[in-house]
Parts: sequence; C-alpha cells; structure tokens
Amino acid sequence: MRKLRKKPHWLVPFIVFFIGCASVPTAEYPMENERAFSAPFDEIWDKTSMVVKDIGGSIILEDKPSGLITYKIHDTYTSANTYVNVYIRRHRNMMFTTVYAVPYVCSVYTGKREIEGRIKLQFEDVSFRKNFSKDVSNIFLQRLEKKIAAR
Amino acid sequence: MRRNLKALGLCLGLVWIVSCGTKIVRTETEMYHLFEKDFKEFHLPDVVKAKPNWGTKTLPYVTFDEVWDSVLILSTQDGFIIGSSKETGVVVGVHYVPFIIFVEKGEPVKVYIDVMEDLYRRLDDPKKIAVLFKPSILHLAFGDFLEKLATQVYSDLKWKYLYEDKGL
Repeated sequence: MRKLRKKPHWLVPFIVFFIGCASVPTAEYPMENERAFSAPFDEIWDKTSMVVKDIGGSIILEDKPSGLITYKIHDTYTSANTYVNVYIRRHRNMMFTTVYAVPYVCSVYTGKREIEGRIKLQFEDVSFRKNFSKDVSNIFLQRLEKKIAAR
Repeated sequence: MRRNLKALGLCLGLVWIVSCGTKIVRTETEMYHLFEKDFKEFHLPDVVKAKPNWGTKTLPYVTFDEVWDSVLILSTQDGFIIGSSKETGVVVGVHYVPFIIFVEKGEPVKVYIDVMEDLYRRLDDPKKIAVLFKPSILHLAFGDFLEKLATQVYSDLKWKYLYEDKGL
C-alpha cells in the first residue's frame, strides 16, 4: 500500500516532461496579406488584372491555370522596384476565392557583396519587412475590394 | 620632420591619383540582364533540367493539385515568382536565393527544390558563376521549406473542421 502511494511522486516530472513535448501542430502557414471573396475565380482574376493596370504595375508573370500574377511597381523617388506576388486561390466551393498579395522590394543584383548584404538586412530587419509588406498588400487588396464591390 | 611631411603628402597624392583612376567594373550576369528587362526573356527550364537535388520530399495520399496549391502558398512567401507552369509542375522564384521547385506528378507526388545558380552565370564568361551560395545560406533558405510544405499539404486533410464550416 505504501509503495503505491510513493509511485506518483517520481512519475510527476516524467508526466510533465511528456506533456511539455506534446504540442498541437500548426494547421497552416498563414499569410497575413489575404482577403476572401464570395465571387468565382474568373471574376476575381479579371478584376485583379484591372487593379494591376490601374496602379501602373507592369506584369512580370501571368499564369491563369495556377492563379498567379506577379507585377512590378517602380518608385521613381527611391528608384527601388517592388515586386508583388498575387495568388488567386480556388476553393472546392466555386463561389469562394481567396486572394493573397505578398510584396518584395528589390534593386538589381550585381554582385556577391550586395547579395550578402541584402541577405543580412532581410534577416535582421524582420519587423520593417512585415510592416512594409502589410502596407503594400493592404493598398492592393483594398483597391481590389472596391473593384469587386462596384460590380 | 619636413621630409616626413613631404613623404606623407606624396603618399596621399599617390593614393588620390590611384583612386581616381579606378573604374568600378560590374560583373554582368543573366540575373542582371533579366532584372533590366523585367524578366521578359526568362524561359522556364524543361522538366529534366529542373529536377533539382538540394532537397526532395515524397508526399503520399495527396493529389498533384493539392500539392501544387501548397507549393504556391509557400513559395510566394519565399520570393517573387518569375516563372511557373502547372502543366510541367515548375516554379521559379527570386529573392535572396533564387530557387526552383519541381512538383513531379504521380502517386506519390514528389517535390524537389534547388538553387538556380545558373541565373548568376557571367555573360562575358558563361563557364563561370558570379555568385556561389554557401551551404549555410542554402540551409537557411531551403532548410525547412519541405517540412513546411508537408504540414501545409496535410493540414487541409487532417483538420477539415477548420474549413468545412466556412464552406471552403
């Protein structure tokens, strides 16, 4: 009877350890820059192309089967280029479409030093990157929302 | 003292003359060329050439479409996409490390990822590559991509309740 009472004491750290190891898996790697629309894919695709033209973006890539558009905006003041990936995602329910917009700022890569410097900056300045990314994609997504609402 | 000053002046003068005479030479690569022309001349590599060897992941019990969707969700967060084809299953993106992803159709679906070092081939001497990425940098860039991909692909199947209520 005594032995049974003692057992739980040395078991407690093990139980705590095993519970600590168990974690709920992350369901997805969510993008913060997204909007869900109750409209079919084709309509969203056309409206997205219109918004890209409206904001003066030049198309880098258009792949309709994949639902992918990449466009570039040139900032004449800083002479930096911003490249934006737009992924228009189809769903099982054809009346729903999600749009993701992820921007990147780049200049022309010329040599190793510049790239290594860039890598360092990219990894160090995460908060700046996140804020910038949110601003650019929000502007794009808001315009898209207005365009869709105006149908 | 005067001699020393004269020598110092002479040295500084020489340094100034030499620095004025140097010309910054830019090594032009295919990447440089592509950026200049907004990637209009970029052609997706064919499937055989695009079968990279840096990392591979086999994904059973899922369709090509499910994997392709997850690849796009993740790769658009890893760089801006300059070329993609659902038909051939190839995605090429550019960021701090240019990458190529190949999704091989079949059962099970296989995914390959690699660095596109070819884009840094020198235009004046195509045998030489201007930028060679260190394995440590590649590990940072690609290390967990395939693991993330597996989680992304299977999340839709394992946690259906997250999506069913929304009608997605």
